[in-house]
Amino acid sequence: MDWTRDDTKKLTDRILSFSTAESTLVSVTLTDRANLRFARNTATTSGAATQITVAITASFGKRSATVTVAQLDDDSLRRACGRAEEVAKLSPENPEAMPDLGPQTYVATRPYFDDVAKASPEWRAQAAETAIGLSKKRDVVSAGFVETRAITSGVASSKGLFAYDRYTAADYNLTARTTDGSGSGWASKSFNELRLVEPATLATVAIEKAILAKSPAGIEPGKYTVVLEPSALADLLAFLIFSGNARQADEGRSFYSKKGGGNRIGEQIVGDQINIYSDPAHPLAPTVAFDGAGLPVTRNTWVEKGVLKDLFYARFWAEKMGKKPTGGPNNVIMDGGTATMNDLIAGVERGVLVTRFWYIRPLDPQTLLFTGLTRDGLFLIEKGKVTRPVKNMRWNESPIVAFNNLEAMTPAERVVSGEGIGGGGFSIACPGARIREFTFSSSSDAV
Amino acid sequence: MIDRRSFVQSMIALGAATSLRPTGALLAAEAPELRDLADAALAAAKKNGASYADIRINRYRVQFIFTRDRRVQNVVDAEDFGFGIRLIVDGTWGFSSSSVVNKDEIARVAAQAAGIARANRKVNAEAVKLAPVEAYNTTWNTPVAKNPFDMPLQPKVDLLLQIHEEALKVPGASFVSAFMQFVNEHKYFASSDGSHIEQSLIRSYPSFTVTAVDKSTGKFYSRAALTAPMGMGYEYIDSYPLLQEARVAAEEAVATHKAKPAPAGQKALILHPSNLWLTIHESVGHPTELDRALGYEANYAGTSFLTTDKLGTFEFGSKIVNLVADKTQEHAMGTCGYDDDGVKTSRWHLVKDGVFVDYQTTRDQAHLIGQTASHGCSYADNYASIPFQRMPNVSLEPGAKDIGEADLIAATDDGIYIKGDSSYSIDHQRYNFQFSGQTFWEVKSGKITTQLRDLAYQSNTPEFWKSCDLLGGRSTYRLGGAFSDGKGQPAQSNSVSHGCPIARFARVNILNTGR
Repeated sequence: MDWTRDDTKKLTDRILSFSTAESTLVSVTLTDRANLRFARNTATTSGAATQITVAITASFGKRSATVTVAQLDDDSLRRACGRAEEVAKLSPENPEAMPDLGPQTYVATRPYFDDVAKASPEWRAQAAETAIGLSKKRDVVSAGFVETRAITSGVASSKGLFAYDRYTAADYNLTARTTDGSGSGWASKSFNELRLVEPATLATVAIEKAILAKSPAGIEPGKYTVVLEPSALADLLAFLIFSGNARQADEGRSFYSKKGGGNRIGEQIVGDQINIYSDPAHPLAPTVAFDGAGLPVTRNTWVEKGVLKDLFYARFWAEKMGKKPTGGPNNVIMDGGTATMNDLIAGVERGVLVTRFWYIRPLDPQTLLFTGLTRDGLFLIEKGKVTRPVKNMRWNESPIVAFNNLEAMTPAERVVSGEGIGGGGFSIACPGARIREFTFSSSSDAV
Repeated sequence: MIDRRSFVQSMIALGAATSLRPTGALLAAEAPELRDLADAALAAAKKNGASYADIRINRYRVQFIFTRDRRVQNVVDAEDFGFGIRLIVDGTWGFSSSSVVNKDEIARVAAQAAGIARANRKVNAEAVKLAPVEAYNTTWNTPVAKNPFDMPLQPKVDLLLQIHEEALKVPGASFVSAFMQFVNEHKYFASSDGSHIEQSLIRSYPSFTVTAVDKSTGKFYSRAALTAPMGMGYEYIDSYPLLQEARVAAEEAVATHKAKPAPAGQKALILHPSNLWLTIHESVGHPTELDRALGYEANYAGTSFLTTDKLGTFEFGSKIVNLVADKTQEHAMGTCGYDDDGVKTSRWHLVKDGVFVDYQTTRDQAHLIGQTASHGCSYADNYASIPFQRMPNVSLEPGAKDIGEADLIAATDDGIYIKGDSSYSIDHQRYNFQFSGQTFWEVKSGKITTQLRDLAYQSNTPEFWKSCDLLGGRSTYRLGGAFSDGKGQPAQSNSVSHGCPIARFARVNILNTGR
């Protein structure tokens, strides 16, 4: 199934014509996705889905309600509009309700590629077969996932708003384990374009890492210099950025709150080599230039030379505080440096090389203290060289502390984090980095 | 693991309202029409060479009401409807789905599913084998006294706003958010093994959070409700003392500012069911999933330290530890009549008298450990999702003696008592975990002496369960639950409950998380 701009406009016009609310916002999404999983060096499950979601928000003054449906026939859409209006009328007034947007202008981006939208089951099977074949040759066992997605979004309002775009995502990730269960390696990438996905390269990375990680020995938890591969750094970046809601900061319930009131915009929060921003047109992480309510998403700087420049402002809070609403964001980019991974390792007297993190959760929002674990390849670095695999460890650390202790970076690249952030929809580009005094708190026997 | 996508989305949104995904269903008397569509699907699958096929035609309905700071921020009624066809061609699974429900689309989707199975045949080294199942022609519904989808909006909104008023009466309480979420899954399952099963499942979840900000110190503490999502209707909300707890929660959030910082080191740990349920979920529920133990989830959720060689012999916990899987447990979210393989649900031990004795299984994996029948743990979170092994309700049996909360505290010389769940993290084989809670209390010489703050406990799964030395009786038993437990690729969400009594663990590592 395919929705052109005209198809989508006709659909949103039809839905709006059924509404008798004072104001109506319609969001329509068509998702076409297909995937293949493999494990134990064999295909397991695979499938395809075509899904339609229509969300109708009816408003009467400050009263509103949202109803979603999956059917596009006139009767279903009429019923959904009627239900949204009925619930909206019954809802109490929301003094913070913002009026639906009228016509907007969006920056041009290119997040959609035909090669992903047209990817065949045979391509996905071949991508899995590549990993399985290489795994068998090296006597390891692999599990992985291949998915291609094409998503079309339209947002329209009874006040003349119309936004339309499509994006594609091709994800490929796998975990290779040695047959004795003592070594594990992982690789993961997501791109908007199929030709950038290299199954053989990714499979080789995961397989060779599993073999290198075999039979790890434990080291004492404590503070270590870490070299974080980009997938590991991406999680610290994501959790730092996702905690940046302006309202929570202004209300005194965030790391970004200023003691005595207000927020920390303008303060130096991390090292001065750190630049973090969102840009839907960024060539490494192209994405859609509007959010679910049709608000334009543009280039926005969060951190510049270590100084906090902006936080997420929703429309109501932005208006109240005299700021520009930020919208989205739909991606995050952290500029990198010029070092290679080998350079980062060469600068470590004694430390660890981290492939990825796992199961990261907040411990204390006041200090942005998080906990998590390493996974799928942790290696000891001694005198500038990787010397041996070590057992996984739990860490309790704040990304703020880590970004203050950052010493050097590789160039930024498109990344999927260990927690899976950056796979389609929300994109991340960031570097690998060397960070001193990273706090590991306990050991884990997990491989 | 609790759904990380939801977690990340909620972090982005900083308010649960926008993280809602339609996942839930509408009860309707549409069986004759559904049966006709299902028969068409099974015939189309057979025509396309399938040796086995099933279809699920499902309607999901979710209602979500979110309030913050004395106002209604969001009311959402979400509905989703569609079908998924799963089939086996030449020993290989294929699956496809659509939200366009008619016979033409069913024919297209059946052919597409068969095409996918054929494409994957060359990379499939293990022909699918299904454990036998009886054919059922039946219905099953969550027994509810008050269907939340038949209730008007007003009393729900009124109650949520009353929670704000009660909490904000407490001096020092700064912010309140409160929500209710209701889910209905209406599922029609038919298979080439002869079953036609119609089920309607209902879940209800009320919750709130109170935050106390001290602008002079720049500190803030929150206390969330100790409610649980339940496999019940609105009667759960009617029966739960939400207003009373709102007040207590506000008082405790305010008092946390003056609470004693947590000690660090080994202590006896007493866990209330509102905390222990999540520890059971993560350290018992996930490692006893057979698909994890066999490596099927190695690339995402991880594997399990409970490898198949440990079955029947591994000392998982102390002799008083009995952990049961139960998809028939009253009021629990994982309870249903039949799983998404069409297997009738049941109850069985995972850990008996401290020994690991069984796994959670599905039809296509039971034979891999020599079992001849499935335990009925197959579930898909949407018509567009592929059914696979998901956690049933997994619960800790109460002790034989009627030991209450006061008895347990009186019997403890030097310990910590924790209520409510909070931060949770565990490694990918389920050894090393670290959990926090909502409130922490110092226990000295058999008495609660003072409130503590900034605390987490960290342990290793078998060490932790082997240190379990005292269980509360049946009177302390209650259910907790995970509304959106994530697993699989693409990630799917599962709702599951965990019952337990209050329990004590002899020596557990306590951390102070303050900085």
